[in-house]
Amino acid sequence: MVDKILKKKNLGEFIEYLEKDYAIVGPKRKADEHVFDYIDDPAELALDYTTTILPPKKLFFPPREPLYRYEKVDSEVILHDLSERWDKKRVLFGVHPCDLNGLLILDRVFNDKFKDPLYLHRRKNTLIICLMCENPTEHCFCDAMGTGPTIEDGYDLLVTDIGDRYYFEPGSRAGRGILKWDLFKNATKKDEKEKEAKVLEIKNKLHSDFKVDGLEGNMKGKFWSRLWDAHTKKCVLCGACNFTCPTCYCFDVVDETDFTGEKGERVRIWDSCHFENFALVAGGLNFRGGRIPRIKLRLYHKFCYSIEQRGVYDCVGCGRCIQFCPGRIDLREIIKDVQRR
Amino acid sequence: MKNQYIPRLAVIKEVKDETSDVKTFKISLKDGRSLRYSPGQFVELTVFGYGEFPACFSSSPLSQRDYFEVTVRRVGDATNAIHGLSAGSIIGVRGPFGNGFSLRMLKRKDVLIVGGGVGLAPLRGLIYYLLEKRGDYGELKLLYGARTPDDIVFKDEMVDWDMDVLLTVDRAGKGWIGNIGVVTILFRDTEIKPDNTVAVICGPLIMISAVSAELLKRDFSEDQIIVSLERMMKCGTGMCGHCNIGAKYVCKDGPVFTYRETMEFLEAAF
Repeated sequence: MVDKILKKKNLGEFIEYLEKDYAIVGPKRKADEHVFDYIDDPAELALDYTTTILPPKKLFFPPREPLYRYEKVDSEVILHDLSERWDKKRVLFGVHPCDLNGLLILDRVFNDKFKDPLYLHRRKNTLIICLMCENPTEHCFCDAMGTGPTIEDGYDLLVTDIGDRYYFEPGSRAGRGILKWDLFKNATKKDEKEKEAKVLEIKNKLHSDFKVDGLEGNMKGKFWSRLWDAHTKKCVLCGACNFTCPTCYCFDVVDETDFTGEKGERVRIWDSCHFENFALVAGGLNFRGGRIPRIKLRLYHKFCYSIEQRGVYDCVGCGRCIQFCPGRIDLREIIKDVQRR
Repeated sequence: MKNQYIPRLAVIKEVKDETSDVKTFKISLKDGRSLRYSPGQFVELTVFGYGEFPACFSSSPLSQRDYFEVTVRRVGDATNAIHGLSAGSIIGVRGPFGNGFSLRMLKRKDVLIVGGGVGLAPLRGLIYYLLEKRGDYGELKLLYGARTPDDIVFKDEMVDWDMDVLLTVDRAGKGWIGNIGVVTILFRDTEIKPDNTVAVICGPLIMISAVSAELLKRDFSEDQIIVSLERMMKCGTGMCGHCNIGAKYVCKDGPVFTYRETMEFLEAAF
């Protein structure tokens, strides 16, 4: 199938067309920032966004998620499955390549030897319309991680803004199906040229001054280096980098019981490896009681352990951990330091 | 796809006091089916209203088919809660999880088992398994250390174990005429040779580290030492992140590792 063109003035109609079969999620303005949220009115879709506070992982792996409910009746216990079962599929419209690459990494975590049914149900029932990112921020380094600004797969449709129209490329059967809709016109050679020019323009906006080649090995060799002391001084162990990270997946499992103790829910909630009790076992033994081992764990997981676990770096260069760090710790400076010495 | 976070319901069949803070629970699945597991693996047990905790099987899957046992020291909320339960109580079971002891590796070998405290629990499962297949294994020996004579678990059973059993305690009380000191002092009283032997260790970190050092000194190779490690295993499926040591998840890649494997972790295993 050839690529397609949609006039910008028809975007609203296109969203309404999709709404017949899908719930729509996309970037939406919230105060001075953007968030991914359900879209009720096509006008809410803010495709000119730069980045969102939380990455799209929250749509597949929510910050707090009930797993099951239990109820004690006489001497019996009754369990109710609380995993979501949707009757309507969903479209994630406007996710940027870096964030989509983040999802592809989570896929490897939740669809490994063990499968996570809750994540996979949402993933399977969500169509991905990826949007080429127009405005990298000063925190972005997807070019260094190889996770942007272009993307090869993982989307059902890939959209590039070329002035008064959108350039659509299909990446799956479902994507091709959607492109059969009446208002799409075949892309011409001229459209294609304009799209290529746009991609080049975007590429030229990114200028990371470091490479991650060999980073895993360099990390290994520097586990006991003193460079970690300097870089972790300003960390307040708040967990903001974990929660805003598209690939951080650690969670806690807790029981929320009502006051009678007779019924309650088991829920999973996002956790942070920076929190003091993360590696605490019963009896008070803490395998990472110190702050530096906890901070190092995150960095080593991203750039060293992940290679052994999944064959990829668990970082997509989205820049959120830099943007939201209250200590103004710049991950790029840490990487550069590891690569330099 | 099945929601793997939902436990199977099970019934506590019997509770046995081992020490003042350790009990052994005999558990059967409510649907009457048997749990297929291997020594050294663990289950996640739920006490409804209190939470979930990981516990190694202390029984052998060979002879004990219609139930399994776990031996639990009360240390946290959920373990204290299960100590309050009696026969007939309903609990939740997820698992089995983890790799378990490599029984293939032990075949036709002399097996030196070294345990500390309630760390003897998974080793008891292994011991019963080895005793039930006695012909497949060489000489079996247990070195065990507890805090005090009252803290020795499985006291009443040990006498029937058809193997050398050497005990020591950190602090003796009245009437104790046995060894006093850490478990490594038992190395003086018995011949321990690396030839055709595999050592299996479970206990407190400091004990694992002292015993492995002692074994290495006696020319055991890093591959002849097997350790079972403790970490906070919450999900059991290598996702929640709590039990990692370096790139490994103890719940999925362990809890049993060779000493050589633990040397390759960037973080200290024990």
